[in-house]
Amino acid sequence: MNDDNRHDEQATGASRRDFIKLAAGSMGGAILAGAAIGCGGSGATLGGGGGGLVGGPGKAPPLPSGFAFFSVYSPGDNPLPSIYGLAGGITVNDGSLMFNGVEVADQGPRAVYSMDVSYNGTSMPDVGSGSTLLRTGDQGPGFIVAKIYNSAMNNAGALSSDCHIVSAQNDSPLVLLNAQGTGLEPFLANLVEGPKGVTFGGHYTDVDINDNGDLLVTADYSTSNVSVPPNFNSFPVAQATIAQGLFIFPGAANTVDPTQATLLQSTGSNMPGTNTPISRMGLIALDNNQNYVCQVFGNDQTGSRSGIGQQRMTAGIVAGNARTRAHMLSTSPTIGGRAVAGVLGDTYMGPRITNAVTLVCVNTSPTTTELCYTANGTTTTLAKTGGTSPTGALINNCGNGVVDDSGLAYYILVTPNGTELVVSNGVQQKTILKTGDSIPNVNGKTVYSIVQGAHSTQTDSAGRFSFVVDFNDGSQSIVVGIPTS
Amino acid sequence: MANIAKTELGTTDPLDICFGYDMIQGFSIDVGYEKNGTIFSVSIDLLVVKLEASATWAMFVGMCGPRYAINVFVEGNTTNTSGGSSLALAASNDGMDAGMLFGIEITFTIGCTIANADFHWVWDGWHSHISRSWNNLVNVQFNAAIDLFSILITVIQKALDDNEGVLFKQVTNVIPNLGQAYGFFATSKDNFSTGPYAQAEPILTLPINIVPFLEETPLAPIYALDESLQVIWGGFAVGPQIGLGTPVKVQMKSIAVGSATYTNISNSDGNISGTSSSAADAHPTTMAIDFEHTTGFVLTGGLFGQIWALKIFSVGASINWDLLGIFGIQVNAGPYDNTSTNTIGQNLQSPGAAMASNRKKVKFVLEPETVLA
Repeated sequence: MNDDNRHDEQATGASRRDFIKLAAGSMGGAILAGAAIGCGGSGATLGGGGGGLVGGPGKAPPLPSGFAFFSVYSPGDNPLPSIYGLAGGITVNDGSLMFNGVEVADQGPRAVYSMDVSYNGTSMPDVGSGSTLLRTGDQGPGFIVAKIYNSAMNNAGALSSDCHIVSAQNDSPLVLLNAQGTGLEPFLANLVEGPKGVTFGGHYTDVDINDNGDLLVTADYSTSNVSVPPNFNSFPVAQATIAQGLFIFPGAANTVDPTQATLLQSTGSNMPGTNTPISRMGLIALDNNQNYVCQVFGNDQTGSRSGIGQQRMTAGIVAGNARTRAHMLSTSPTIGGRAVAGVLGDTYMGPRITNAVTLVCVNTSPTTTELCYTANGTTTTLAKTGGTSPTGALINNCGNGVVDDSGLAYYILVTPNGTELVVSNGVQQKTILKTGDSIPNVNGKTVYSIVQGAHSTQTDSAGRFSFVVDFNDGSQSIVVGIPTS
Repeated sequence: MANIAKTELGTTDPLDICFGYDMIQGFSIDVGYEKNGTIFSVSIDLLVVKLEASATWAMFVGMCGPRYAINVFVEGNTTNTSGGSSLALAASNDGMDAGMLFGIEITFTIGCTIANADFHWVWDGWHSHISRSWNNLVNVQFNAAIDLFSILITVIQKALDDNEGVLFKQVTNVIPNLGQAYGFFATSKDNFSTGPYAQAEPILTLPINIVPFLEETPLAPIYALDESLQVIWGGFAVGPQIGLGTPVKVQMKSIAVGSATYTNISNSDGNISGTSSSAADAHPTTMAIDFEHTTGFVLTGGLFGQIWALKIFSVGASINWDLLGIFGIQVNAGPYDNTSTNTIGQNLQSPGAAMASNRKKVKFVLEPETVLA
């Protein structure tokens, strides 16, 4: 470590008592009492923000009364003994876990793995076979996998599909699709023809797939047209559009047809309800009703207009349904046009959406975040920097979390004591695991940090959720949390 | 009546766009253009991560064109008529290139620091406390310049594979301050030999992440940054957003043989005819063709940059240049006229001879800096 880049900061008010609390016993499997949301954030609710989305929980789902936590896999264990370390990215469905890992050493080959898991109520799950879905160095038709970026997997039983963005060796990135488990094949790549004159380019930022096999991708693309009419008095015409688009491919897991797509958002178009063009798009999420959320970046012109002479990058979230109009779920306060109803700020973290419930972590300043939960058109602040966690700890920062099918949000809070994993229904919240806790089937170790929210689908249809835990001895495990009621 | 020996008319032989006719008259680009700015710049705390990232660019673009180069061999005769004279020519071995020469050198200045918070207990009796330190996962700072097309020429050629007759290749650089120039043009043959018009339809679009191509270039640190971000399963992407199209269509508007100018030109399968109110010269020594063309021209440019890690965070932006505005181009489709004159029986001069007799000046355009902060 470079000392020049290491700056110790004494946590405000931290004391031996904090350490005792940090080192306290297990909460795994405990029965938990809920706390009102006001404890964690401002408790503020804001109207609007839900228009245009299809579905929704109707009312707040009840908080589970408790959770059973089980370590189901550690690097080196069967059925995947070659894994050296877990990266933290994990996606789940009802029968398997898909996760990122590295082999041999930190700089070793990287891969995406799949591991079968079957559940027995709230007892220890059974771990089945494991497989390497994708590995650096793998060769496919015309490409060698150099790097692996974002992945997604849906929940369709034996016909589940997964997709991945990879960088090809000495060639442009591409999207691989394992349609209904038939094997990974290139789906999108540079020069692949898309819908209505679209030619896909050589960059893809993020990908998601829902349980119906609909695929959502942020992809660079171009359209071009050149014609020279036979009559000399008619002039030649050339047209070229180079942009990044948010594309939905309905039923892509069935059709495997990149021309069957709809362009939902595009750079150059204004953010919905504003007069600020989209400059770039980032992370995305898609639910089973084709509701989507997407990071959109813009160049705020306020500075230029006011004579300051500078533009400022903004980061917001657009939400919508593939068949209806979209709206801004969060924007920078300086964005022009009709303002958004949600919390104002820049959103650099990946947004989440499940069953029309959204979770967005907004940077209200460069050093403060606020986690916004929107259900049925109402936005609630679940937590924010400077607030208190359900355990009463000062919140340093919030994670972007995930939302399950019922509308429960699971997210990480960073406190002076470490990390807390919290569940909320938008009205109440509970800390269900935190630094210093134990996992019942892991002996002699305590939780050091909880790595959750690196992927958007970390819960299954039964509300079970998975994440990575770093223990106090430096070891890691994939932990499954099962609601006990 | 006079026989006209086989004569070559047009620009140069072999064809060379730099010595061709301007597609848009008044817009003769032999130009160097410099500009710089910021793609993105952020300093934010996310969960247990402190992210500081910035990407700036400086660009030098050199261009020559858009132009078209054309040549055609004609031979035949003139015949006096009651009202003047008529012309009958056969066209053969004609060719046309249309497009432009250009190069882009881009200097990227990249800074990226990602530090994660580490919490640790400091033993100090009753004053013991928890401290937080920041440990750098990624720390990359550098700048370097690159000839953009040198790393993408294979990709571009692949992109143009299905675009018959459209070429992208290294050419002799006539643009000062530019390391290497490239020709982007459509080439076609036997237009006037078979019909009334010569035409070419080049178009190129280029939205691509160049990072995978940088491993063995001066921008290898960008490749390394992308590699280092793999520690957190992230990536860094940067690339051009270029759109270029230069379709052009040409016809022979009039042909002069000696002192007689023939109009009402028609061309059927390479058999060219025209009429003049003047009598035909008995022994003409020169010949001229007035080529008339119309064009559609499009030129867009920009850069994008993006940094991300799994589905945890992402920052990105793009910069779009109004290249037509920068160069003060107001696209007018024409029609425009250019006249080629030659001694009957002679071939056209070569590009080298044309260069010696027609030194071109290169102008530079400097734009004020804009910043995204």
